[in-house]
Amino acid sequence: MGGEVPEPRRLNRALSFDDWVPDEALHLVMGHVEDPRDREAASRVCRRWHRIDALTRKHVTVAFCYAARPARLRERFPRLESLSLKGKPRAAMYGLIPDDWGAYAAPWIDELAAPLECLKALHLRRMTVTDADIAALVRARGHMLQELKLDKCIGFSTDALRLVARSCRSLRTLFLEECHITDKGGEWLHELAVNNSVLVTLNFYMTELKVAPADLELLAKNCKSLISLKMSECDLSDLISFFQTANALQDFAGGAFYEVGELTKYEKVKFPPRLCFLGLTYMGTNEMPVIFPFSMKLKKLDLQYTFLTTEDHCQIIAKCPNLLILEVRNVIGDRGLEVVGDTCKKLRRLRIERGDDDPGLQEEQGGVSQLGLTAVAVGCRELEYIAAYVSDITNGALESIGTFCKNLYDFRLVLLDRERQVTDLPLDNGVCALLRNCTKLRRFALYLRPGGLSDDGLSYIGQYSGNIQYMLLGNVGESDHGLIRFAVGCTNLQKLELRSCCFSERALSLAVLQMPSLRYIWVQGYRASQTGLDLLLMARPFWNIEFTPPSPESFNHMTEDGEPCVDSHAQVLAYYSLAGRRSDCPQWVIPLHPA
Amino acid sequence: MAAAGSSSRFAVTCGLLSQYMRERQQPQPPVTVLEAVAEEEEEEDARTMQLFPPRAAAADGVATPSAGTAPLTIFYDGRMVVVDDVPAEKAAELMRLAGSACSPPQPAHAAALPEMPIARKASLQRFLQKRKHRITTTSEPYKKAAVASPAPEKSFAVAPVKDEPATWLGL
Repeated sequence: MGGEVPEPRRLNRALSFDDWVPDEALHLVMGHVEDPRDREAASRVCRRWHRIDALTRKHVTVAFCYAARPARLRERFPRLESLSLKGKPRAAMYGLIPDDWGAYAAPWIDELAAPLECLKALHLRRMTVTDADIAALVRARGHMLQELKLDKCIGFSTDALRLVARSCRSLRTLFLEECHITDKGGEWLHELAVNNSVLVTLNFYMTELKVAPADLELLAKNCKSLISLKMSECDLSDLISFFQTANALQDFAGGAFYEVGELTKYEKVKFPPRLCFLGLTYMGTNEMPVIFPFSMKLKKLDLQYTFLTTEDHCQIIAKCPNLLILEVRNVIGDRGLEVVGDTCKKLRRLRIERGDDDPGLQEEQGGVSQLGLTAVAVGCRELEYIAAYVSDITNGALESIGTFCKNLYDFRLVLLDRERQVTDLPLDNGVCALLRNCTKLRRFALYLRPGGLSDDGLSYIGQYSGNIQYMLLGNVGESDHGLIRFAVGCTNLQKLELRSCCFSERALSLAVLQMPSLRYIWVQGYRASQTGLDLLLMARPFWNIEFTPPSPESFNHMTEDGEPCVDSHAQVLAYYSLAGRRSDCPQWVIPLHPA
Repeated sequence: MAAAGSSSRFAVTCGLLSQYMRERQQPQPPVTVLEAVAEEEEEEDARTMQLFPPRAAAADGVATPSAGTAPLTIFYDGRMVVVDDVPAEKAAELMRLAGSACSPPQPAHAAALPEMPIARKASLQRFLQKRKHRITTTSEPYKKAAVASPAPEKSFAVAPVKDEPATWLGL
């Protein structure tokens, strides 16, 4: 809904409309307003609009589960059909938050599952979900549940999945990507295949679940509309019958090439005719040709979990001119990115993850620099999303991105710390040019190294990031003054993450108070005071502050994999909340405010 | 991808409408998100349409909420910062804050930041561990392939190794 805003005197007419139009009509009109920001604005017009919005709102996203009370949500939106809840800070995806931090689904499911009679879609991200929670959900909503997304969640087992599979016969989407699930056997998939005939999306990618290929084949047989399957590891040669059966499949990721260098074994794998989104785990040089016959059709290629070399990347990408999404590790190298720039003219999203740093396992010719990024910027003008771990970068490369990628919506850059020498620091001017030119940018992440961005650069970010809502900054700035100058410019910033910066508690507090839209800030690595008292300078009504000291206790905390949480630096999390102080803090988190 | 962030025309109009409503109903306190639900019942007031509302251009003030902006100079921790175009209310707030907290600045030596490694995505971390395991247990297919020969040779595959226990495959 773009265009000009009407003149104020025309509001009169708009409101006369409001006065005589019956509720029913307003209900109908409101039903066509879908954008959550539009909804929010409409709900604030007057009490009548607020009430009608509340009764007609079908979807709500709670961006942080401690920001509101479940009871409040139920009261306000009794006819909700779909709910998304986000839990732990993003740092949890990087192993920086111990598993017992919180973000429990239980209070939400207990409060909402039964009363929200229209609820048919639930999406939980980075939350702790138990078997009992899932059982309660299934009891109350199972008969009509169409979508269950547990995204990077922990705490449940395949027992709960069995229950879902048995009871939720309308389920269209079951999403479990990157969840830590206790595996008590593959029966859940068998049950799903037997009981469900309408499944469209099944995702247990990047989980450790073991399933039987025969059950997948049965699933494909019974669910004719299965369009997307992303799965854990399973040898591809065992999936031949599944692929023969799953005719509607467009999206496949996972599987595995367990036999190294055995193309003959995998030559018999024939992918379904409509497949255009693909990611094959452990694919190596020898197996790569399985993709060639249909590479022209591919729209998405995920090579993050493959064994391909730089040269392989060049070969394979040259055969994929229709890619919209490409995800790789930095082994792609500048050479690979040049091929991307030459070939993938429609590319929208590019993600370049970080490969191995171990010198013994270093990836040949890997590493991405200003050369590769510039080639991509010049070649792929449709890019909306770039996330890259680079070994080197220049102001010029950032300027090129600003010049050519006008549609950029989300830009994330991490400068790796392995290379001693970086060509062109600080990046003040490049960052400035990128922000000034990419006016559609809404998310921005910049993780550099000391000296990578001066206080001036930081103030440019504030000055030219008027539309940005989410930002992650790491190792930027030189002093508190930089942070304050940054903060004064950030009018629309809602969520900020800072890591490894030199700012004092006092400056953090002052900065928070300068950002009118800020509702969430997470900080790790700052100049902590002895007492932490300066953090209280940011205290105000409805603003919760939680402090995690770098105690030896947190050293002993383990993630679900049994990996120790290596990181023991203090963390600060502060957020707007209508729910008051949270009551389920683990002992090692100190709620500073409200006291 | 939906255009996020900058308000849509619809949202902006709603903002103006809301402003307008408030001005029309001067005596009533503005609806806030917090109290709106509690007060829902009493909403059914018979609102009559005012043909000549007291302030037809009620929303005129929206665009310029503050009196004006001016450069702000901050002296802080022995240094000076100049920030352009600071609204008066923001400056006042800053000054109030600065006044309310006069603890001496932290000595610089307390500032030494411990080194923090760049964190890695958990899923990738797991993959790289498996990859490492695979490289060290197989005949290093990855490195050999990387050496140069783009044409794969079958001989690499003499000893295929499953790096996962295959027990479940028989299910």
